Amino acid sequence: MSHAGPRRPAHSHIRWRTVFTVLAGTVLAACSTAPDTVRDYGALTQTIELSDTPFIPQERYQCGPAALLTVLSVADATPPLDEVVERVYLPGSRGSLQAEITATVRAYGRIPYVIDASMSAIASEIQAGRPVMVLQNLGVSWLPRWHYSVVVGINPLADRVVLRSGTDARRKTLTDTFLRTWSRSDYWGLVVLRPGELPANPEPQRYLQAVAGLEATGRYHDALSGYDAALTRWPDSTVALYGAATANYQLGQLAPAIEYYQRILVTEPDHLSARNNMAYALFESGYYVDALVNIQEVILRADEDDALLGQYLASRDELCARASIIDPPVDKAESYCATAGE
Amino acid sequence: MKNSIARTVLFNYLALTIVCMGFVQASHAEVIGTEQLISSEAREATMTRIESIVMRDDVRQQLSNLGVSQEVVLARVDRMTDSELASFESSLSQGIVGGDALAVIGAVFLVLLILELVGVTDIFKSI
Repeated sequence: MSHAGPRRPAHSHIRWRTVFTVLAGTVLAACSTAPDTVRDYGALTQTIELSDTPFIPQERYQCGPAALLTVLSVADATPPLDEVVERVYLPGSRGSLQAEITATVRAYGRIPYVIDASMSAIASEIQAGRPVMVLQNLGVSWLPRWHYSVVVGINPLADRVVLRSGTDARRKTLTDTFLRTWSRSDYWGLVVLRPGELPANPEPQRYLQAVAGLEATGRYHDALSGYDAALTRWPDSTVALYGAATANYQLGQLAPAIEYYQRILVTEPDHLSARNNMAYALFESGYYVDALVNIQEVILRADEDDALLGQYLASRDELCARASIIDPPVDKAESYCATAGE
Repeated sequence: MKNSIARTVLFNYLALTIVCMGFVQASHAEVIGTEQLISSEAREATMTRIESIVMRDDVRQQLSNLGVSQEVVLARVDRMTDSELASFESSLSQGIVGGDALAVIGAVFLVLLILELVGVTDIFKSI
């Protein structure tokens, strides 16, 4: 190979074009009908409909706010529609984004849980009394017409679903038609949970992530209820323990915070985030030496390429700085803080 | 007189700067929230999955045939942001599905996809 230029022989382009076309064809073919695993109603054999679900007719293009308020109100959150519109409606695109919708659910102290992509997931939520907000594409993939609606009923015998949709209080749609429109949003479906409530078939990581969103936006009480509910279902979940500890800490409840962090550290002594946070809880409880011992331990155990190393070092510096001005002086503080601030 | 005004201004400016520095520091050193913990763990898990694909024997063989080392690929993957990493992984797993269905291309396709995604080549852009 005397000349190693960037150009490749033309035939390689053609070959890859063929390969790509074949692959794209396979993918498209797979999308046209919903697989049986998605279509299956699960344990549901009888007609079910949540007739009490309020009907909030949409105004021009505003299906997002209307559908969202419908599922919020079922979870006892009843803000005025205008306010919801303000939060989620994007006038420019005449619609709402999923991320805005989940953020709004959190703003009202509720947990936005995205369900599994299947009819049976919708069915189990409805059986638990929760209507499901879904994103559909009523157009075709190349000319989309996105639409939010709420599934309130399923008739497995007649293969129909019942929707609160737009200005239609009780729209009956063939299951296959519904699935086709739903599939184009990758089966995006949402239930709104009160803090402390678990979804019908909770996926731990997804549920805890939703609760952590409440914590991250400062709703510590609601987050704590969510973590407590998780701990009743998965008592050994590290993330649930960590969340319960952190929410307790943020609420100034230091004793339970320390207890939860310790429960993690008993089985995972290398859980450095838990140890880092526990040092704060100990410090604020007046256990200054224990706090410094623990934060020093974090630095000793941390890998050089730990993504959170910067934060551990900042914690150590802060705790050491705070320890240095405590009167009477903290015993041996200098020996734990010898390298602080470097 | 002028001098003393200048001094007051300077003093206020410094005082404000110091106060602000204090805030910056306080907001940086805090307990690590659960959301942050989850996302850093998720990133690690994704890295592990990608590594296991790149370390596959057939993939490694193809990579070395093309004169690209696994280290280069992994180092580039390591530098990706969380969202880049997520889309990399989803493209990769789609590639695997395609590779399994069409055994003919298998590892070759996967490797070219990896190289494309980490920016070593740009075959698909020319399609």
